[in-house]
Amino acid sequence: MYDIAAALVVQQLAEFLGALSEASDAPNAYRLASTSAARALDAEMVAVLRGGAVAAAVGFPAGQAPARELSAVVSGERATVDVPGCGPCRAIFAPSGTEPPEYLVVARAGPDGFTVEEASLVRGMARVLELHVHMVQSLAAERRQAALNRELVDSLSERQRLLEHLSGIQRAIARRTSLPRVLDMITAGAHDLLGRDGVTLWLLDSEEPDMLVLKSEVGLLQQTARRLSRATLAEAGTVGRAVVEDQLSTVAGPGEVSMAVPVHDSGTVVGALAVAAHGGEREYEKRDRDILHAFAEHASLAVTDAKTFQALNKAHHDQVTGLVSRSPFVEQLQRGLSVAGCAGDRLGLLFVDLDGFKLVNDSLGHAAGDAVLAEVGARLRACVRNTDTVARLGGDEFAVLLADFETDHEVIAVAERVLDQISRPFDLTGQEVFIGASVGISLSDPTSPDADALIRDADLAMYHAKRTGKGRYEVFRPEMQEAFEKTVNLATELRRALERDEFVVYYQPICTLADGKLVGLEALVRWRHPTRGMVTPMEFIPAAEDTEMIIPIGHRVLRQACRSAFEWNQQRTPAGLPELTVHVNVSTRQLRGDVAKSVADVLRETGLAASRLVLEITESHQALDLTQVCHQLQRLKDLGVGLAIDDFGTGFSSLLALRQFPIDTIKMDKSFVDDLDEHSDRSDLARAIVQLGRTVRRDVIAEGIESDRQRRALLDCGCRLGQGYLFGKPLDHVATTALVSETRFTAGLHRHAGAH
Amino acid sequence: MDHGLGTHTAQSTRWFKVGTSSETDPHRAGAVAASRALAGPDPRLLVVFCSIRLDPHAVLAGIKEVAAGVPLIGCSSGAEIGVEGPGMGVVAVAAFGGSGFTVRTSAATGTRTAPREGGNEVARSAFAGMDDTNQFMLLLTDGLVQDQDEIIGGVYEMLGAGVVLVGGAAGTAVVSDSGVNADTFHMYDGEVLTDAVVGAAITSDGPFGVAMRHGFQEVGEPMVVTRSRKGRIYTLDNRPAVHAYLDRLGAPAEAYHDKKAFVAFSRLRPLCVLRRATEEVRFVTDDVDLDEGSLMCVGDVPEGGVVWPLDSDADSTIETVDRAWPAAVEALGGRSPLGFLAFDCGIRQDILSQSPTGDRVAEEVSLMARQAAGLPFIGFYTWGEIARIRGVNGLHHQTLVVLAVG
Repeated sequence: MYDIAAALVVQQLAEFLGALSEASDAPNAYRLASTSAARALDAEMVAVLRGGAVAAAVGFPAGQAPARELSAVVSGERATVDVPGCGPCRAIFAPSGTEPPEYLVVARAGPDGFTVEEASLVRGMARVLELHVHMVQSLAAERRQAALNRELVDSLSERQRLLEHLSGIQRAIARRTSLPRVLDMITAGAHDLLGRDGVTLWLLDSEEPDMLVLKSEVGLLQQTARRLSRATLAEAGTVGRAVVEDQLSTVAGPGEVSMAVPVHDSGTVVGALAVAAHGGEREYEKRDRDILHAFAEHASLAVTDAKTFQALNKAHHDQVTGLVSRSPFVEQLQRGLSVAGCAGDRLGLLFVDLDGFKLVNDSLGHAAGDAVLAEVGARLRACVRNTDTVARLGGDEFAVLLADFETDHEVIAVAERVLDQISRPFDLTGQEVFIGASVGISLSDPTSPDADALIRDADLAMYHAKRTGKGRYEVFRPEMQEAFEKTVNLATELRRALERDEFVVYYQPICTLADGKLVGLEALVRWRHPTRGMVTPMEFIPAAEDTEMIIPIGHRVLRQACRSAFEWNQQRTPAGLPELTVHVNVSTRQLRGDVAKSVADVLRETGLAASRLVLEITESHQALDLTQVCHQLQRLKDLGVGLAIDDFGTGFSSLLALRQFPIDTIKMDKSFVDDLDEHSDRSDLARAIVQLGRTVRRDVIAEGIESDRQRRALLDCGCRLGQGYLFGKPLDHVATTALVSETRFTAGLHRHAGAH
Repeated sequence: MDHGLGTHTAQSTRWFKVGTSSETDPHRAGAVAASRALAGPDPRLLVVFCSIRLDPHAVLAGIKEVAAGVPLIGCSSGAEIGVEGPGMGVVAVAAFGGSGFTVRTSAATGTRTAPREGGNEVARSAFAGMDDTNQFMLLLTDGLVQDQDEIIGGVYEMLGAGVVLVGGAAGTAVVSDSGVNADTFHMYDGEVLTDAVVGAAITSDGPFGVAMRHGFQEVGEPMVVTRSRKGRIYTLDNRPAVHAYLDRLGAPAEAYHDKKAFVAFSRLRPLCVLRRATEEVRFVTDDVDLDEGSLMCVGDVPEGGVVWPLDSDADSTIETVDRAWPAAVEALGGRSPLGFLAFDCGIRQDILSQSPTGDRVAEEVSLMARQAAGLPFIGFYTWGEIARIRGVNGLHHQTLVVLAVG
């Protein structure tokens, strides 16, 4: 047999606990406790008192529980509670263990009162209630903390995502990812963090300042994106206002909630990043604004960087050819050398210098020159792989950087392709132009990755190629460096020689071919070296030109020659001899600055009549600016000075010079004269040159006449004047002074006559 | 457990009448039943028990046609009780009239998801400003609400111990009645509601009496619920609950392994949960797990509690009328009743209809008529009976609740 009363207490306490388990907060626990206790004890009234106030009660009409009467029960002043409709009801109560205690008060109608088990049950209920309230309050506190933790975790998680997006964007900017791609990353990132809303990025049209162009979007329907591709500031709503007012702009209407933040380029508004939610259920909070601002700032960063990079790129690339320009090329070369050095690889460098480009540029204009340069760039690129680099170093100088080759032959093969390609005609709107190139090749030393040295070596090799005939390549050899150093040393010596007055002038007679009468003298410079003896012009003039020493040396020779000529004429005139003309060689290299003034000063200084001076124009091995040369020659001509073209038939286009330059005299190169002895066909050339001179009314002076046969042959051709050993070797100033004083000088003819 | 309250004043008048109609046309059925009920002046309240088989809107329209402006509450029923006998497809109307009654009707919806709040709402301000003598509230809840206790609890929270609660839960048709509206409904003045509770706060200068009885007998010694969760009982006396339950009741062998046989057996044999002064009947549902051996009851069966299996038969069920009816009259304190409302459990109807000796439902209703002794009465077979007379407990199962209007 069961102890029914005990079982009942257990059951009712279990039910009470079960009922309370539904309560998730204290007020509900009090309410459920009241109802459940009333049900278990078949009570008319149950109340929970807290601090003298009724926390919950059943049995009274709502809100009418008598707190004072109930308090009187727990204080022992009363044993009954008046319950409406039931009259005085016997009451018991139990305190909780809390401080201050809560009281569970139970009242039941009828005369029986409460049993011991029921009193125990009420105490148990009070205890259960206390524990449960404590638990739900703890749980509530934990829930609050958990909610805070969740918020914190969410916030951290969101912040982490934000940082991931932003760092990804920063990396993309640093890697020079294209601007459209970076802008897409920005809208995608904002969309990810701002939810399902549409995110758009607008930039002002550079050509229409009041027009916004949609550059990137995420979350728009395709047709919407198409419709929104362009909009005026006025049409663009929130976006337009953000741009115009340069500040956050928001709209919160029934149809749309949107927000836009301006995007800047170097501080100037150039667009806006916007987010919009359609349907009006969305509210943007500070967190959303912060996110949009963060992405907008990165959009500003991307736009500014792209513009800067564009400008930088412009500076780094040659505008004519589109090739890399010198400075970035050198940097790239240096990086390449470092990498190759680490791997034990070599790089090949081709220094390409165009031959004859100046002529094209001067004769056809800069536009044509640029067109040729652009085509050269294209041809060079076509000669190499995509992985190789072609640069324009400046002027008509190019460089090609080669990597990943097995043998030197591969590099040489590229040089040969370059020479072949550049030698092919260039079509300038129907006009064919031919130029050439000289190529210097240097190969890197993995143990010495020095970009400047590699370029210098290639430059030297190119110089050597040009000096040795143009249109060819040379691979750098250490002796080239030695030769270069020798040239540099020579320049130093030349400067010292000038200071020590070691340059002396020799004079070679120019005579009539018919009777050997002296009509002039060609001044020829010699270097009386203190240790090497007399050095010929062929040995030092090129170096003097390269080092610009040709100018002071030339000036020294001119002054000496003019002074001597004046003196000699002063002697000849009283003797009834005709005045002599002195010929002085002038390199086109010297035709710079105010050369006319310089010559005029010399003439004034020495007293020589301008008509007694002939300047023989010799071609420099360096490029000519024909326009400049022409201009200078004309000014000299205006002084009354005679002009001769030296070594006619060799060097630069003599016919071009004859046509363009104000030339009085042609000096036929010795090579034509030499041939007059044996090759009849070559004599035709000499005859043709003489005939040409007569046709264009220029005097012709034959050079290098060594035999009477040559003299006669030239006479037969119609040539009137000449010079050469037949008439006399170059003589120093003393010997020449003696010569010019002879009243009956008939050079050459005497000896040959005597020989007959 | 009976209740009787009331005083009588000669100056006031009160009348109580009923009317029923078996008309197939719902509009006409409503109008006819209401017309029959409206037999006196100054009607104060109409209480309608409307068959689930009838269109409630049409019925209500018919009633309002003859009783415009009269406060009204009502609900659906699977079967109705009237002086003429039990019926299906009947409209039964009771009318409270005369200055001796003061009535305020109220309603709340959403009780299937928030029953306590529904109870609070229907009782809130129900009696505000009304005389505080002889108060009772007639409640018609929804039989499809799982926690009807909560509705009653919600009402009690508002009204306290001073107001007697009486009524029943709206029912619907049994599953075999195909084509019949499966949802319950309520009527509240001019509206038809679903998922609702309606109430009429009534004060009377006459007495009223409420009595509640059931016809079950406890079988054997009480059993301890050794494992349960909410309404599911896993073990009784540490044995699988199904076996302990069936063994105690001497169930046929097939009930142990055939769910259909179990349900047929168990639906007439509930469990009784021990209470301090009474018992609470817990209907055993068809949600049984024969493999696991667990039972499911309507309402909590707390672990550690004590239960008895109950058994009944048609005789004891019918006999309940003879105990409940006089008790309600007796609760009037010697005053003569004006009429009765009966809230009889639908399970009891099943017991009677499936009696081994044939359908005995009519026998029960005729017994009611005999007890009424010519006075008007109507009722319906409910899905939960309400009789809160004292204490907080007011919801009952498989009982007969009788309201005697004095």
